Amino acid sequence: MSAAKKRIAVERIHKLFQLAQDMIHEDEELAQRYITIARKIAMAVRVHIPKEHRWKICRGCKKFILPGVNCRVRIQHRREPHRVITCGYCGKQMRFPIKEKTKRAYAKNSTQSEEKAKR
Amino acid sequence: MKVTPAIIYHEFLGLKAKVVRASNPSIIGISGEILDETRNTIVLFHEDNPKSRRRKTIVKKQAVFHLTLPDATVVEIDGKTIIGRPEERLKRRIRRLW
Repeated sequence: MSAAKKRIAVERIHKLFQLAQDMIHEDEELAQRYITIARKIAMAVRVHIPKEHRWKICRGCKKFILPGVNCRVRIQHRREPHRVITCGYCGKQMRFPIKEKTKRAYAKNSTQSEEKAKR
Repeated sequence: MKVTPAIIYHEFLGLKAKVVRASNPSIIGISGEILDETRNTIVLFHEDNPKSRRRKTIVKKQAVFHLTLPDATVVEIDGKTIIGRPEERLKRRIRRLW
């Protein structure tokens, strides 16, 4: 598979996720179908689902999940700070680490705000 | 999305489409957003007549479509060239038709 086709495939995957997100409030089945197509494209062309979309597919039942619609999101600080996403269909829990970079940015922001408070 | 024969690799879902020519005269003129796509059909969201069924399934083989791309250019595509499942269209090689 050529690089040009892979680029088109990634574009299509982005578009399908956008469509699914818009459609899920009107017709859930159709939104799920868009995600199925996106996954099939990714598998056929052998590209990864882009990182920013990976948590929107349940690792158990491979369905489209979106916070506020069909999943729960918790933040846990134990051991390592991470997000726990619970699928509303199958109950599978997925864990994603909260990145070091964001933690550092948070610390930096908080020290800055403290300094501001001192002033 | 450039207008080249490679346009058949792109995503059609979400674009506006219109049936301009077809062997079945009753489906000519149906237009709307493309909702779904299977190997041989396209599902359009037809808004003209609120009384009738909104979702129209059109057989690709017998129709010629006018697709409106996101940058508002209109492309005429023969349904015969876009036969195939959405994920398999990417694998296919383009056959020149003209």
